[in-house]
Amino acid sequence: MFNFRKFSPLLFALGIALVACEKEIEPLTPPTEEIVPPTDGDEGDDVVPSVDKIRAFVVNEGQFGYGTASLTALFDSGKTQHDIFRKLNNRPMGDVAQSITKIDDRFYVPLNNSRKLEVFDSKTFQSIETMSIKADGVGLDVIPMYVQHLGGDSIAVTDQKMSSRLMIMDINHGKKRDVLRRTIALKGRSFQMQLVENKLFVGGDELVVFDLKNLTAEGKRPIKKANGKTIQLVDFTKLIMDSQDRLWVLGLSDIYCIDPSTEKVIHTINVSHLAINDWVSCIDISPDKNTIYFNSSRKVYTIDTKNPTAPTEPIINPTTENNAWTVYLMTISKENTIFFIEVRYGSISKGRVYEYDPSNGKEISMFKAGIFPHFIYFE
Amino acid sequence: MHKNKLYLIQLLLLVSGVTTAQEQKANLKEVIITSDAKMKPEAVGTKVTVLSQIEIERNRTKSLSELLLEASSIQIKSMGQGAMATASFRGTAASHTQVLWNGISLNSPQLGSFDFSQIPIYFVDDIALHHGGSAQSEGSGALGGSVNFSNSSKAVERPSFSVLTEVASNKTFTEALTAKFTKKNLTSSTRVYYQQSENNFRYLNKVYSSEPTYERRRDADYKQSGVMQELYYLTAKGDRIAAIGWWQYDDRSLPQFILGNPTFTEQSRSENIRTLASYEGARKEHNFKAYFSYLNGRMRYQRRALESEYIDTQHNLNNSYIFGGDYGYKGFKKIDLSTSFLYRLDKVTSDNFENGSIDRNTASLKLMATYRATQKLHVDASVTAEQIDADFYAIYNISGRYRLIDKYLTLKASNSYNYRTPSLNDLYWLPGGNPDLKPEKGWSSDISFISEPTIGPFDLKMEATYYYMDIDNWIMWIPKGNGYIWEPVNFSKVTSQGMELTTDIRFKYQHTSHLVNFNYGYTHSVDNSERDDDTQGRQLPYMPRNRWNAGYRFAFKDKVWAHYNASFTDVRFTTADESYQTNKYTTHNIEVGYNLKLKEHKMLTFTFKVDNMFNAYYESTQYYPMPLRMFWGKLVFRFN
Repeated sequence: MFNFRKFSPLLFALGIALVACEKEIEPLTPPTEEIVPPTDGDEGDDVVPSVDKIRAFVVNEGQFGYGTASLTALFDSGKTQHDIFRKLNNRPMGDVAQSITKIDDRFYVPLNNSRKLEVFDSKTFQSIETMSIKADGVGLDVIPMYVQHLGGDSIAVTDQKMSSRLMIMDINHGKKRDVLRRTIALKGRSFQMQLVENKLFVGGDELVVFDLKNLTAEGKRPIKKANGKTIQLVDFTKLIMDSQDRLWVLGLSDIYCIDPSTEKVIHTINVSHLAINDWVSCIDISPDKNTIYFNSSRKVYTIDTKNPTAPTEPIINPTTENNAWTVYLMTISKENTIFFIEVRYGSISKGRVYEYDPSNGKEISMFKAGIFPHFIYFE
Repeated sequence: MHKNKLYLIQLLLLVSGVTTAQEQKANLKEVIITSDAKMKPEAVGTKVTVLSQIEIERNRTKSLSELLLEASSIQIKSMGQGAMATASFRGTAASHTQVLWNGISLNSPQLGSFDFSQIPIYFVDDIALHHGGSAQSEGSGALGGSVNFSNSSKAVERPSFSVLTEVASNKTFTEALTAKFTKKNLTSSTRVYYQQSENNFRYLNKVYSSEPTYERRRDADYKQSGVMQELYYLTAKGDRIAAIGWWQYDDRSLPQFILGNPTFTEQSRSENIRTLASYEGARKEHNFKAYFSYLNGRMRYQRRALESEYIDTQHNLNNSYIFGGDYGYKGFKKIDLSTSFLYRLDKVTSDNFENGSIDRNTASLKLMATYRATQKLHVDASVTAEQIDADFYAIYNISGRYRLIDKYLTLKASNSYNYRTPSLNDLYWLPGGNPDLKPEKGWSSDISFISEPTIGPFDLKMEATYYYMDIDNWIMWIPKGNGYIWEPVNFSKVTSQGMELTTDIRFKYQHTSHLVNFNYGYTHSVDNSERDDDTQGRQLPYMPRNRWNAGYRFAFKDKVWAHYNASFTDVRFTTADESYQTNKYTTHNIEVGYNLKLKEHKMLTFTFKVDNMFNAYYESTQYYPMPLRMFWGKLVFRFN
């Protein structure tokens, strides 16, 4: 027979324990770091975001698996502010950021290990939505890299998987949870894209082109060299347009100039003698779109688009104090200066960004970015 | 031997705090067992923390990591209930913590570190934490310290049997039973344990997207089962022959971090067989022990794509053969001498080794002398020579203890040199393994002040320790080249210093007994390497500067008890330059229990527990949520 007196202390204690419990789950405490009010003369975290004066954003991958992807804002004054998304939204942006693309008044940042796009306001940086890449409710096994607006409410997103898929997504999806419209299988990895009138060029292990009206696997056409072979691009490199509306790309040993209308290679400039590296060489173009820049580590070379010939001497070859730092990206600003991203210990430490004057090879500025910077976007 | 027993009794009573009369009796028995089990003398001036039987008994269905989190100040990093958990002492890495079962190292020669979630407390009778230099008692490698757990060989007057059943609100179910008897000189103990958990608790994900979403934890389920059989035989001369066999099987999903969008599931299945046979005895001033142990561990890791049929499977197999012996001589008036030798062969097979299989041979010889200069002053010194494959190393430890003011103030101090050889994964893992790695090596010193006064009805024990250590050639895996491949390198020089404070206060009033205990650890563990990457002088990742836990236990007669525990972990940086951090957190647990005596020798024990009673969201590893408030109910039936 149940002896209530024997059990009464236990029941009493149980009651106390239950009363002490709360009904609602306590929300996650936001990061403690705060945005510091504006001060003059300080560097680093002490600059208030001022949209009008932002010159560039550096997209930092962060350490894989640690959720330390970030954006560093560079202001005209040379000041910087780190990790602006997290500070203004009280949450991490995600894991392994790859690039940033502005469409209308919104920024789109693909985060490859989070398999999502973060969308936020280009003026306030407030989060608008998170586009999780799923198909039928299940995460799609892709590594989203770069975003290209296709017009209207469609974007294309490339994929770094070895058997990659070009993802066509809906940016005006309302309350629909799955934002993925369809995928197109590609050969090898895919990187940056270029929209030329009604065609989409997709760079990667195989340079291909689509008609926008026929963005399907059947509509895919590889761009071929004179010998009939397809063109493989140096990892992550841009597809750039010159002043004559020709497309330039950096292959593993050649630079190709392509006529977008005929999809034929017009010029092939062999640069294999310049030790192009498959992951630290980049290609870009001057603001007037007449001078191609490309690099082999810190050596930067140029090609005149109107008279394209292979260069022999770099225009700049800056020396650094410590060769332990490795060039990870070279890009050209709107002021026609050369920006280098340099990293050390890869994805576990902060990178540095150097700005050089191409006319004399002198360093103009240097600032620290976030962990493993990968991409620079100029406003 | 008798003195040793008395000393250990004293030590355990002092740290175990308030107990009921029944519990105190049990403690006395346990102490004798500890003395029997530990043939090797421990350094007199080093810090050893013996966990109380109360804490062990309360946490029978928890893992070793969960117990250490609640009852010690060492740092635990866990990915959740049932998931991988590591422990580190005094600001060092998880691989600097040695785990010993009855004196046998269980650290994986492949990984170097140990997964503390794989040890259910149900298979443990005694736990001692060896801090700093005291961890040298079983060989090299424990730059930070060691966790020593052992089994009890005590005889029982009559056959005993207990069965346990427990259920928790996150759908964790535990069943366990123990049967023990002594017949003439033979004692047998059998334990069977099974735990399974869906572990699908609900939490609010505020980090993945712009819209906070309630989610259920997925891929955190696990099953854990094990059987342990112990046989102890006392010969006519009083020598003891022991044979222990332990089989354990773990099948668990590996939870993903909540900043991701899972495209795959991961699962690991591991099966461990651990055996130990020993013979030990004493002849006048001589005592000796010989032992053999065989360890077998199999692990299968599987990664399965959600979207496709893709499955990646990897296998690892470890076989270890260990022979050893201890000898002690106590024939001198003031000096005790001892020596130990060990040979260990580890055979590791992995899909990620170039040749599939790698052997490691370890042979060591230790000499130790303890000098009792006066009744108040004891000092000791030990030196260990170790040959690991082609490399020879030597380590030492010196320590002393001086009783300044009888039981009111005792001073202890130690200094040691230790090293850790790289794990087989560090050396040979494909891709990335670096065969040119040098061993990590370090100096460690500490000083402790101990006070054990009795003030009125209050029995107090306070121990405050300051430590300082330098570790060179600290091994870290860092990205190589374009970052796709990581490799281990001798990356850092680390200096760690801090303090540890332990306080127990116990008192009795009429039929009630009370225990208040408090553990606090302050750790300043920084990278002192000369690199221009903003990491110099910064606190090491996942190393909280402050950690404490506090508890209060109340018992009425031996019928009812209540236990409250709070545990605090400070902010931990997740990157080497301190630019990212986890939130600090405090968890509060409460437990009440009731012993219902049925007939003679039969008893039912009811326990109800609330873990994380204030429902705090917290992460031991960033973006891996830990369970929110959980309710546990346990019923134990004992017959003896």
